[in-house]
Formats: sequence, structure tokens, C-alpha cells
Amino acid sequence: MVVIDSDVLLLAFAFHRDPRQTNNAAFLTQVQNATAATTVYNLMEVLAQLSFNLSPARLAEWESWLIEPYHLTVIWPRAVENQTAEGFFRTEIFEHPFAKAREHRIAFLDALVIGLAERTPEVESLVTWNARHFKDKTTLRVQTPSEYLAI
Amino acid sequence: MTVLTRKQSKTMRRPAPRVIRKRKLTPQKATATVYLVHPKGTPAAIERGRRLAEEVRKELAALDDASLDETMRHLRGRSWSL
Repeated sequence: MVVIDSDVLLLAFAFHRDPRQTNNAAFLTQVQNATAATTVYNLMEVLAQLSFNLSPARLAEWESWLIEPYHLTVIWPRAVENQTAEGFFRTEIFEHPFAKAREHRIAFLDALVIGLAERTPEVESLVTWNARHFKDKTTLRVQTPSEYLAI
Repeated sequence: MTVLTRKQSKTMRRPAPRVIRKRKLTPQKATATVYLVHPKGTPAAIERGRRLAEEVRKELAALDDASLDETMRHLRGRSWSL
């Protein structure tokens, strides 16, 4: 399973003159054979960013236009058995990302995304246009869409 | 006061039977604190999704001259740079 970062998903819908568009589209087509996924944090980052330019009605259809065309699986965090809602929230929003931040000096959202992806047994790699940004910050293989296509 | 028969009394004192079932969980599954939501994946859902995705792309044409990297720096902070 390949986790797709927000920049790749944003490029699929906007920034049409960006020179990475061709490789981005080719990657999104090819990665469907390897089970493409994204985290709920990426999903919210993309939807919140696009909320400035899309109508509320269009946003509400997100599962149709964002998930189905790319056959995306969404990864959500789950509480451990017998964990309270407060405990789950503290672990997910504070303890996990704070542990990452202390270890790697990492932004809050990066820590949430990587933390959730690393805890998903099926995930093998993270694909982002800023692979350099994540190198040495995760145990996952990190590639750009172009690097993924080259393999 | 309720008077119990010897049989009733014995039943009440007896601890509830403890059922221990061996669960077959792989170590990965036992520690996974995530769940996955898969797409519908039906031909109709994919076809509708592609059509709507194309409409969304047209609606986002206003962002054509904007920069993805600038947007990501805004979202993830100054550490985001290519």
C-alpha cells in the first residue's frame, strides 16, 4: 500500500500549469495497481484548502470526486481496546506527534500523517513531491511520484 | 428477608465461569491502531467520480497561476521547501 501526500492530491485538481502535472497524473494512474491510500489528515488538509475555492455542495461530494477516481483507501486512527475517548484523543493528537517532534523536529501535520502511516501494517511507502523533506524522519520508504514511476 | 434454598445459595456464591478463548491475532493486527475505509470501486461510482473530478478541475482554474509549493509552505510551515 502506498500513502499519497496532500501535495500530490492537490496537484491532481489544481495548479494546472505546474510542470509536474504530467508525472503526477501518470503516477496517480499507475499507483492504483498497488493500492493507493491517504490518511484522514491528508484528506482534511486537501478538503480544507479547496474549501476556499469550491462550493459547500461540491465539497460534500468529496467521496465521489476525490476517492473513487483514484481508488483511494482512507486510513483512520482507531482507539485501543478499552481506551476512553479522552485517552484516545490525547494519544493521537498529542503523545504520538509530540514523540515524533522530539525525535525529528517535525511539523505537527507531518507528524500526524507519518505517525498514522507508520502504524498501518499494509503501508510500505509514502509518495510526496517533497520526499527530501521526509527523509530521515520516517521508517517508510519515501519517494516522489517521478521516482515511483522510474522503478 | 428472602430465604434461599441450599441450591440457590450455592449458585449465588459460585463465581461466574470464566471463559478464556484463544484469539488468533497476528502481531501486526493486534497492535494496529488504525482502520481502513475502502472506496466503493463500482464502475458506476468510478465513472461518476471521474466526471465530477473533471468538473472540480475546471472550478479550480482560478488556482492555475498559484504555486503548489507556496501553498504547501503555508500548510506545513517553512520547513516545506523544494
